[in-house]
Parts: sequence; C-alpha cells; structure tokens
Amino acid sequence: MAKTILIVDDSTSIRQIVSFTLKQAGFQVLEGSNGQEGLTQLSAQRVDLIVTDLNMPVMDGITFVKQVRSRPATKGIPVLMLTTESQDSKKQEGKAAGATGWLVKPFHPEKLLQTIARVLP
Amino acid sequence: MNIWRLLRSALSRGRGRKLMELAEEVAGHWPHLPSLEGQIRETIQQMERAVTDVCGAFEGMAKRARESVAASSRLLGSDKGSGIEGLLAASRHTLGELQQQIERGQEISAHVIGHMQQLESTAGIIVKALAEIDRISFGSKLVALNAKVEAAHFGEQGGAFGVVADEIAAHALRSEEITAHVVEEMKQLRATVAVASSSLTEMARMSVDTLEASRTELESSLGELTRTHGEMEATLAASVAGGEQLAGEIARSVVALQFQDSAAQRLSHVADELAEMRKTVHLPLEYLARETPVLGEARRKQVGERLAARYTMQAERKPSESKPTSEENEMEGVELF
Repeated sequence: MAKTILIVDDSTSIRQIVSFTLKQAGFQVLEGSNGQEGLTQLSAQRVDLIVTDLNMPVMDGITFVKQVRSRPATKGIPVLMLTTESQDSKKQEGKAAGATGWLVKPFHPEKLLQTIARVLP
Repeated sequence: MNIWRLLRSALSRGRGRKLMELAEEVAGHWPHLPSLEGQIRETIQQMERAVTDVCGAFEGMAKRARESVAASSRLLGSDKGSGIEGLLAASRHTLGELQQQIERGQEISAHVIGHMQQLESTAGIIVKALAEIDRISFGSKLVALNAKVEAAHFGEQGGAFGVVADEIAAHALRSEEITAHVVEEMKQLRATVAVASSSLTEMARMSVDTLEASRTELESSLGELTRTHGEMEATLAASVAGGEQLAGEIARSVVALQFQDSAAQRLSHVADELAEMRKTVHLPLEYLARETPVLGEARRKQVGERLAARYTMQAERKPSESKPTSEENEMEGVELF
C-alpha cells in the first residue's frame, strides 16, 4: 500500500510541485495551506510523513510541528521542514520544535525523495 | 506626528525650500503607490497561476510518457515474456515441427514407391514365367495331337491311349486359358502399380515444392516480423530513454520553477512595505495638502505620464481591470473583425 505524505505550504505552486514529485514516486498526497489545515488533515487521515513550510499564515511551521509532537496520535510522524530559510538559528528552532529534517528551497526532486526514503518508517 | 513636528520645524528654518521640494516629490509619487503595489500583487498571482499550470502540464506529460512506455512494453512482451517475441518463437517451433512431419511423410512415400516398383518388377517376372507356361501348354497340345494320331493308327488297341491324349489336350487348353487370364490380370496390376507409383512420386514432389514455398514464405514473414519487432524494440528503448530524459528535464524544471516561490515572497515583502509606507506617509501628506492644496499635483501628473510611457502592456495600465474571466481568458489575444 502506498505511503501517505502530508504537504503543508501556503504556496499553491510549491504544494503542486512537491505533490507532483511525490506522486511520480508512488506516494499518496494530502495538502494543507497552513499549520491549522495540516492539523485538520492529520485528525482525519493516517499520515506516514509530513513536509511543511516554515513561514505560513494562520499557523506557522514551528507551531505546527510542536502541535504534531504534542499529540499522541501524531508525535511519531517524521516531519521535514521545506523552506527558503537557511539560517542556523531557524534550523535550531525547527529542531527544538521536533522537526526530523530541514530542506532548503529550491529543492531537487531526487534529493527530496532520497531524504524522504531515509526518514520514512 | 514626529514627522509633522520635524516638517514644521524645518519649514520654519532655512531648509524649508528643500523640504518642500521633497514633500512635492513625495506627494507626486504617493498617489501612484497603490497602483504599483497592485501590480506587484497581481504579478505574484500570475506567476503562481503560471507555475501551477506548468506543473499540471508536467503531470500530464509524465503520465502519458509512463502509459506509452507501459503499452509498448506490453505489446512487445518485454514485461512477461509474451507478446510478439513469444509469437515469433511459437511460429518458428510450429514451422519446424511441420517441416519434420512433411519430411517424414516424404520418407514413407519413398519407401512405398520402392515397394511398388519392386512389385511391378516381380509382376514382370511372373508374366515371363506365365509365357513359359503358355509355351509348355502349347507343346503339351502338340504332344496330345500326335498321341491322338498315333492312337488312331492302332485302332481299338490305341483307344485308351487316345483317351489320355484327349485328357492332356484338355489340361493344356485349360492351362492356356488360366495363363491368359493371369497374364491379363498381371498386366492390369502392373498398369495400376505404375499409375499409383507415378501419383505417389508426383505427390511427394508437390509436397516438397509446397513445403519449400510455404517455408520460404513463412521464413520471409517471420523475418519481416523479427525485423519489425527489432525496430519496435529499438523504438521502445528510445522511448524509455526519452522518458528518462523527460523525467530529468522535468526535475530540472521543477527546481527552476521554484524561483516563483522565492520571487513571490520577495515581491510580497516589497508590496507589504509599500503598503506600510502609504500608511505612514498618508497623514503628513494629508496635513501638507491641507496647507498647500496643489502640493505635488504637477509632479503627480509628470510621474503618471512617465509611468504611462514606460508601460508596454494593457495589464500594467489598468491592473485592477486586467483580470480576465475564464471565458475571456480562452479568447485572450484573439481579435475578430
């Protein structure tokens, strides 16, 4: 059975680019345009991995990761941050929040898939 | 409020003229900021729509490429060992078996023809033997005739001898009749055997010719099929290579397309800052405009004209009116007279 990946990003185009890349590799994809929508998706569906942006309206990526880690049903899901931010301080913030990995945009599809393969349970 | 105080203070001193020029400049540009901000935001949306469309097209391209390669693979049987390659192998096997069976039939025919020829030869020997028997019968008849004549010379004493002579003559006649009948039968037998042998020979020759023609034709067809199959395999290989190349190109495009995200973020920040500037500059300008109603009017016109001269697209001139409906969008760039 195909693994399900949740993409959370406020940019429609980035969601579509990531979705395209993941679907080509055989994954099922769910989408949310901010952290809040991501949490809604998580409460309705089983998800194997999350790819989330950092800077988003309504609920940003750091808050979203913290929420994911605080819920028993979702605390074990790997979370990759996919963002244009590359500052170490931001990365440390993401790590402290519970992110599993950090990818800087623009990402190479193959690199994203390799990273996902490494962290998928 | 600090700006007000600063302006008042500055105007009350000697730098008033320069600051008024600055105020004139700001007042001249300020009315155009909403339009410029709107253009930036609209550009962000257009870029996002374009990237979304391109991604949609990529999905379609990738899907069709995958389907095309899969269909070709199924057709050529390269996935499960079936298909044309399998058919070609089966056809060659059947052809081989057919050839073996016909060759076996030819061997049997040759044997039968040999036996028939031997039969005909034996029949010839029998006919010769019968001729000899016929000659002997003729001799017996002559002997019987002579004995009959001699018996007549002896009168009653030769009567018994005459009876034996009659009996011999009767046997000789009977022998002649049987011999003639057998000879006739043997002639018919030889003729029949000759015809059957000839027919079998002709049939065997025809089988060989037909087999050879069929084999040549089939081999030619199989050769053509093999060649076509080879070409199709080469095309499939090229198609697979093309698909891989396409995937690589799409991957590179996907990386390149992400410029939109960073560009959109930057432009959003610029637009947001322009909005902030408008809020900040709005109050002092309003104050100055009350003091000087014509503040910046001439400069605003100049800036407007300069912008209008620089614009090259209708969408730049009237950004808020440039959003086409879906129906208009389909006909965008088309003009009917």
